[in-house]
Amino acid sequence: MTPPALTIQHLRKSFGSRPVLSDVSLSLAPGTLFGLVGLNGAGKTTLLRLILGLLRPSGGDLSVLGHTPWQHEPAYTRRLGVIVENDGFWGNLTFGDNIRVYAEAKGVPRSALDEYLTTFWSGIQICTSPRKVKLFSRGQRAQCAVARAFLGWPEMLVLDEPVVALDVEAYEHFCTLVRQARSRGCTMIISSHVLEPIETFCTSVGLLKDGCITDVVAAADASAGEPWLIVGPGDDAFGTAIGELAIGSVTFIDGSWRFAVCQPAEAIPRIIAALVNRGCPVREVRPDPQSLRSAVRRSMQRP
Amino acid sequence: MNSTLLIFRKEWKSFLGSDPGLFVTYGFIVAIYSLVFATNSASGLGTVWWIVYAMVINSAFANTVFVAERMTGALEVLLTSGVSRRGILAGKALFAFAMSLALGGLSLALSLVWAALMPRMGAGSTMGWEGPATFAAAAFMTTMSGAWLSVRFASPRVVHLVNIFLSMAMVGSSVALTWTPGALPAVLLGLGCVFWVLAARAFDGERVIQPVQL
Repeated sequence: MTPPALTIQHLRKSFGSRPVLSDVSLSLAPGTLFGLVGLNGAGKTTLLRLILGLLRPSGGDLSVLGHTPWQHEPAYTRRLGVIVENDGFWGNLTFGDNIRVYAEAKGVPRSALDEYLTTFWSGIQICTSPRKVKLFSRGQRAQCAVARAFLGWPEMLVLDEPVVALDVEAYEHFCTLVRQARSRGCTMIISSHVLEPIETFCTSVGLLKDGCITDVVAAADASAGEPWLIVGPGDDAFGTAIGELAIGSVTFIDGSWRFAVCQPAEAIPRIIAALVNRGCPVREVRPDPQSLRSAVRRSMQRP
Repeated sequence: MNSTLLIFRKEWKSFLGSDPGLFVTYGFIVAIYSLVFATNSASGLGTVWWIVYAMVINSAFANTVFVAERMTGALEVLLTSGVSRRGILAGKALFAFAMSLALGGLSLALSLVWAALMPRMGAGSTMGWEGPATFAAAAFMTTMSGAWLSVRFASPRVVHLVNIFLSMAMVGSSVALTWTPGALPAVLLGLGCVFWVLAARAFDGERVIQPVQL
């Protein structure tokens, strides 16, 4: 059995007498894309900093990729890709110089760096710009931060607000990189107030509230079922097939069939298999974007 | 060692990318202090000038390398990049110290030129080995105390003030207690080593990423 990429058990963190995280437990299998949501000041950045080894836990256990982050082993940090709260660039250097220093620190060979930049960033102007990073706009710096985080396809990506300043084109590019990282088996933690990337990519979402993590998706399952979308033909046979396997009503909106299921981790593969067996062409299956927003809202309202 | 050199190279490149005004300022400081050293008579203040110079030059570099990165978040990226924390500290300290020595050496060389050009001023007549040695030792102490204090205090102003106090305390002690020649550089060097140990411990702590308060 593959060991988890990340294991957190009863993690606590206080700053002086002020507790920020009181009892966080979480386990992520390798390749998981985990979304972390929560209100401002809930402790998301603190949790990410604990995972990165920048903060020392006040209690509990934390293991990432088989390492204890607070031991500051370079062998551990080389396996990480990060986007931090501030972009963290050396402003007097060009982006090229910045990423070359970073690549050397990470032990990424020059050839791999060149290949990465050529394959994924050749069309992006900032990457070849002779301007210093301090002269870039906020959005350009955010784009540079994305480029730096995915360099070398690290095993664990910890992304704090990765898309907040990205334009439409840069966001699409970010999505391409996330898909690429997912196909390479990278484990990812995305903390964001912009829910779109979490809705699109994350297989599991946690809500940080009152110092603890609640599994938002599971919380929604327990109440009314989780809304999902299947993109496929709009004919009745398709809808009927879904309806037989889902709970509640099935509606066809904007080219997608919307329905609710309990325990989607088990139900969705069953539904897809059944549809495929019946010869129904399934083009795309994903959680209903509205579901996460409403689930987060519901979770935050709970006492 | 690779980490140290990597950080040193990064700091050097970053320095070269600074605004041109900075180089003009440093050039001005070097020229002024070279005149101070060249015209320094046997008044007994030579060593003090060297220490003040070390503080002026070194605090600028130490503040840049140890504080500026905490403001931009670059230190967080560096700490999670695969470079050891000791390597980061050593690379930054080496850069600040080396730059201080380089500018000190430049001032010294220039002061000898002034001395040759202006022999009637008695220029350079009292310049022994103790001045430059004190400068080097003071630069080392200021670098390492700057590294440690920048983690202990959130405000770079406090770091600077404490460094001034430390240096002045050393000068005052050496004058008041009439230390033998060579004692002051030795004490400064020893203090620098103590601060190095403290800085290394501080860099292993979580306060190293505390926000800077201006």
